[in-house]
Amino acid sequence: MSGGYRPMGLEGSTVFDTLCPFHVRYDLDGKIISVGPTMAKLRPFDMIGMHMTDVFEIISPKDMLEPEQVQTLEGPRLHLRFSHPPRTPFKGDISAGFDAFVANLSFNHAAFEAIKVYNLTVADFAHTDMAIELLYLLEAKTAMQGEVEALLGQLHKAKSKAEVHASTDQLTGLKN
Amino acid sequence: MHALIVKGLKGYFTHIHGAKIWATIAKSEGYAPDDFELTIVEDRQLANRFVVKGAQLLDRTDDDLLQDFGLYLITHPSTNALRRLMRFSGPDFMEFLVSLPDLAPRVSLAVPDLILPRVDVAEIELGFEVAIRDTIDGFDHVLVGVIRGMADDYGALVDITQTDCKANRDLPDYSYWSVLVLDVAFHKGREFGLLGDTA
Repeated sequence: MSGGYRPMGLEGSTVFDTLCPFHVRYDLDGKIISVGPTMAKLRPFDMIGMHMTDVFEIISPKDMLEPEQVQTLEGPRLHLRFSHPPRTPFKGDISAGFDAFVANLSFNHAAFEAIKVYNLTVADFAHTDMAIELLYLLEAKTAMQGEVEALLGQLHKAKSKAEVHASTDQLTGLKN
Repeated sequence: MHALIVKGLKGYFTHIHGAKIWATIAKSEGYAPDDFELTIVEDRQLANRFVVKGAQLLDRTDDDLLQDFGLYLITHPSTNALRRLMRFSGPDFMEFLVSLPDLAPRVSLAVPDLILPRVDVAEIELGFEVAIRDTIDGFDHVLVGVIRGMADDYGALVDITQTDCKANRDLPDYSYWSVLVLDVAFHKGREFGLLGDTA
């Protein structure tokens, strides 16, 4: 056995659906066999049976679907985006199975935009996906920034008041 | 004592019980009602004394008042940011309970100098036993109020009672609470979009 061909023993089971809600599984000809439950939500049409290049624009590696690449493809970092709008970008890893490939994709920096566009919820993400933690942190930082800005506003008001106070004669109420 | 805790108490007394009550409480410690926007509070016991004074004025127990404060932190419009951050714990109330031990580390991610007590959970029949360490006086009651608020937020029907340690984790400096989830989807709960107002 050579190149990327390696039995996985998992194909056809639901294991990818659970572990990789954003996966795309396709055969040696590039035809899509199955997609993860969240991935399926992202397009208005059924991707199964379509060719990878009908759904995705492949950014890198450009030749990932070429027959000579298919023999050896294992582990490259994928960069894709949807061919049709909204053209959400993905990054991902790829693994070769016995007669198929599994590309496990994620939103990358596009998570914020994608969640808005596709109206996704916590349940759409794998438990291990850091996208939710990222959103949490962003929101926490925004909230804390709000606190700091309010504090600066108060500080500014207090300073102005003190300045007026310092430049006004206490007895006459006239400016010094 | 973190300034956010005192600020939270000020919000609670002002929004729930009125500006007059808060002015009386602040004055009892020699502060003006608006003092806590700019003051870094060095006095670690100040929040406790505010709670004691408030409970006395409102004729309630300290514990009862603290639980009500926790509930306020989740349910009041002015603290919606906090309620939203809590909802990031998971898609349903059970997941929220399992994630309670992550609460302190998560809070520290957002506010590095706010160190909350350690919380542990153990699965029991119908729910979880929650153990809350007593490194901040009264924090357990505040958290119980928060848990009640979050149960309602997720739409779960729960029964929360203080218990003796049942799950064989005999740690004396913890207080133990049994949180029984009678119905995880009792009502629809409040909306939670991942992007909230920042979208």
